[in-house]
Amino acid sequence: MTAPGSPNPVTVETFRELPTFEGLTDTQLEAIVGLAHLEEIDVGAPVLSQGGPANDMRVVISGKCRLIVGLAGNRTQHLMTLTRGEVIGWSALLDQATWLASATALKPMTVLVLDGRKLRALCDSDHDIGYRLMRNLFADVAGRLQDTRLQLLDMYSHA
Amino acid sequence: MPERIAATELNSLVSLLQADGYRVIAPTIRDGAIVYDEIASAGELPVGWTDDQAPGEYRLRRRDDSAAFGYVVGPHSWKQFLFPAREQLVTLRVRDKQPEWSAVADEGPAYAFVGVRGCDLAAIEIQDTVFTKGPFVDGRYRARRDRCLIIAVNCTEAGDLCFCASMGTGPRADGDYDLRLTEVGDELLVEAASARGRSLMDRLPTQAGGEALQVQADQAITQCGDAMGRSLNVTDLPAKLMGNLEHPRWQDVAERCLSCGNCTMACPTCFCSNITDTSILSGDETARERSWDSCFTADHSTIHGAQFRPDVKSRYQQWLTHKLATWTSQFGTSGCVGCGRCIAWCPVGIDITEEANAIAAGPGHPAPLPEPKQYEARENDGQVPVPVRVASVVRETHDTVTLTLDLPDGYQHGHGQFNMLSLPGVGDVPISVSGSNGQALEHTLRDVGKATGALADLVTGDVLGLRGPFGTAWPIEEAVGRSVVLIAGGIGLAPLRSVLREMIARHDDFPHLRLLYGTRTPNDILFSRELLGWIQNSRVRAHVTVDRGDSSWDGNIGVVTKLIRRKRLPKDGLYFLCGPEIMMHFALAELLADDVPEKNIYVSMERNMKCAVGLCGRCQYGPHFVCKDGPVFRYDQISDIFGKSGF
Amino acid sequence: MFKLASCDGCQLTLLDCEDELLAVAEAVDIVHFPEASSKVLPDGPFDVVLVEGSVSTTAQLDELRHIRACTRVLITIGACATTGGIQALRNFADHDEFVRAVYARPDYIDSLTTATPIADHVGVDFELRGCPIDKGQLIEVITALLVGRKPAIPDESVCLECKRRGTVCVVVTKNEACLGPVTHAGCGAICPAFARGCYGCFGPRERPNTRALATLLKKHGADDPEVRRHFRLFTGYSKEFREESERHE
Repeated sequence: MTAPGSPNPVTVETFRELPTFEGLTDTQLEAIVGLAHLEEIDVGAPVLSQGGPANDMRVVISGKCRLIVGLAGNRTQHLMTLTRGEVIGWSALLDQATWLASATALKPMTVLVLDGRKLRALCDSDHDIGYRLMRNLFADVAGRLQDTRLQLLDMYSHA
Repeated sequence: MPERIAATELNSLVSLLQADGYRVIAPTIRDGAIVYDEIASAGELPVGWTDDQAPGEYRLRRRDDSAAFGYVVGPHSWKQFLFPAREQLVTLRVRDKQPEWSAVADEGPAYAFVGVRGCDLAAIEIQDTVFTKGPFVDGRYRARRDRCLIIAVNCTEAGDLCFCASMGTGPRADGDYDLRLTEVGDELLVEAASARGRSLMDRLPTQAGGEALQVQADQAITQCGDAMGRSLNVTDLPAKLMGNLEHPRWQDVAERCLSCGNCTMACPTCFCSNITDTSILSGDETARERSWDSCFTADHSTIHGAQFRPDVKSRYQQWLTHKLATWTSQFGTSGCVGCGRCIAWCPVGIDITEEANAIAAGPGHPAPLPEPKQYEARENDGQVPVPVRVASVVRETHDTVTLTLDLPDGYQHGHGQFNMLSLPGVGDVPISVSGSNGQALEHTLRDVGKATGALADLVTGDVLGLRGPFGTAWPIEEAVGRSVVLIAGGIGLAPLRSVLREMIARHDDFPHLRLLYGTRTPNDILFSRELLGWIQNSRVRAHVTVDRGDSSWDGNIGVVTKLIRRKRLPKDGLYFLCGPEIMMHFALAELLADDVPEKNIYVSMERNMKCAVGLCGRCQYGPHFVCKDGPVFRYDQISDIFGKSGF
Repeated sequence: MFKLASCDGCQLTLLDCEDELLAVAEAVDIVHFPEASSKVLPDGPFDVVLVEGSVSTTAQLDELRHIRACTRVLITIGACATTGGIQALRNFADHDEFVRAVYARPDYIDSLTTATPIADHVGVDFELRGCPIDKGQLIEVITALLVGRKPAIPDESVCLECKRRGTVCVVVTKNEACLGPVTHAGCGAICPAFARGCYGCFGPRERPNTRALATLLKKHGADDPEVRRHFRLFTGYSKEFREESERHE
């Protein structure tokens, strides 16, 4: 299953070396292949838009994007940049309706798009897949939380 | 051969010393205590007096005999003569806006110390090590010490606070004395241990037959050793103390401790000092003065306005662990000689033996300290700045400038070392070398305080003072042929820049070179043009990230640890880290989680560097001095204390 | 130089700087100095103002606010300006009763019920302690200000100065009541050199362990009223000394 315009179909190989899918067997990955497709995104194009429906979780296959939160009065806060292996839009795995941030491509990107509703259903029905996937995502989220703490510490303000 | 002399003949010794040109310093009574001061005759010795001592208490009492040395040690120690409480080190004269620094020569008198006990003889030897065993040698101290003549006295009566027997420093006064006395009844046994001592003995009205007196003296000394008022269990004491840093007793003692610093002042081995430039309001001459300081003051542990030992607990812990534990790594012996002064002269009577025994008996696993380091002593004491001209000033960011200075004659440095930059009337600031070539020396500094602000305001042609280079360098030769990863945060890129330049130039030696650099915002990026060159240079893989980006910034946003996580770094590579401690803390956590061995990681540390030559004690970092053992440390040398509060 | 409620002793310290006074006069333009000249009060603005005295009347408070508004660097000098001074002892007592007891015509007296340090009312750039201040420290502050660096005024105990000058400790040898261990250095440890305990003229040093000192005073025989009196002297209204004295009410 591929998205229109995307030359390469998603296979089990697509998931290799992506931390989010580490530890899953090929059989388990086959189950995920069915609910994923690849998208190409041009520089400057949105990867996801704040306020939009949080239907899909994405993993960066190549390229780079930045995560931006829009604030009142047209102001924006640039949170972080994401590259290969990093997850965008984990909200899709929660029962959450909308994206809380936007992401825009800084370099041409290939993004693995996973249908959030189907992925949740798969995790619910196959707890082995669900456990492994959630564990990997938890490590990712914990790393992000740590990074956010460091940003809050404002490490370079003194010495 | 020992000889004997009648106690009534002590004045002939004093007279001989005076005739030889010595100022005779001896115990004498003043203000209700036996102090050390100049005496004109032996009549000023506390003959027939003794001292009753208890924690926080000292009283004189008449003896029922006329012993000349029938007391132990009082409020003073000999260090006040060899390492004066205040002294000028350097003078500065400004002529036609050209500053000129010169060392203050020591022209003091030759002292003869009369009545130096075993503990105090050991204390003098400990301070000899501190001031003269390198890497820098304090010329003033050494000159005073070389001129000084020591007449030791063996103790035959122990005080209630004495524990020299535990420390192995007494009651027999062994060591570097010229003449040694033991008082037995109304006679003194006299032994000479140097040419100067023998010359004195030859001229004293001594009698032969010292051997018989020697037997009595030895017996009295042995009995004295068995009668110590206090004892300290020194078996494995450094490791036990370092293994019990969480012991509740530290908090308990902190509640009693006034943190007044009296213990450090009374201690005959404490050597910490402060260095200040005295005011230059009137006239064009000023002096740099050294004065006794204490680890109980706030200023002792302040860097960039923040205190790293903010409470009494951490200050007491620093004092006790330095004295009894880390001193061993720094100088090869304990810093305590068992004289008991800190117990008597603590107003609230805190007893070092009681505290240390209790803490060392705690449940903590012993934490061994590094072996003592040996240094090569240099002739230069490193304390006199040389004038250097500012060749150019480049503003790197809104708060950071690079000062390019004319290279002083014969100056050579290693990458990672630092200099002390000196401005008349402002004082010294430690700044790492950020680059150099045959003619010029670059220092990149951030305007964070008044002193760095004054440096940042310099213009081409201005003259400032430079001392250095000091400290350790990045281990470049160890890195040859290996993967090298430089991880820099903020201003920490400056000390890594010079090493990176060299490694890029020596591409064949360093074929796998990476730079990960994180800073606050795109506007805080240092050396931006040069950095762009590195990013485009195929000889180095350079990655930059900022904590806070904006729409004008297309690069990475995120903390530097994220780069570490993302870049799949080599486990067997060498890592050089430099940046704020908090940044290095998290970067280290990432590397160690990735199984990079501690010995493959080097970090550049910063502490309160003041003298920069290992003498003022302010930049102590556990068993190390950042100015001489650092700033570049292999991580396994400091992993026990890195990030721990109180260090 | 301005004064509020004070004895002028700190201003005199500047006049006492005989050798350095000329250099000071050369380096700065002194526009107002009540103790040295009767010139009328200028309006400002001022680069640097040294203020002596505590705030004891509403008129002084108004004057202080005016001074602050037209001054770049405001430095308070002395125990009165930094802690309220000896007159702040009234803060612990009934003000009206004092006025009735002391003055023949209490109705002539218009003063606040408290005497308070300057920093309680306006922002202060640097506090120089002492009763009176030390002339060496005053010169240091002025010099540092001219050069643009932080004044080297060590915040340490009086004990360190005592030991540096070789004074024998009066607490250990005589059980003297001495505030030295909790008091900010700067005087050169004068009192112990004359066999007296420290009176705390320079006020509390950073992190003073006043509790431990009070315990010691009691061990040496002081009762609660005596402990209270030791802490309530020239700088008794400083936060740390005040709080310790209140623990012995």
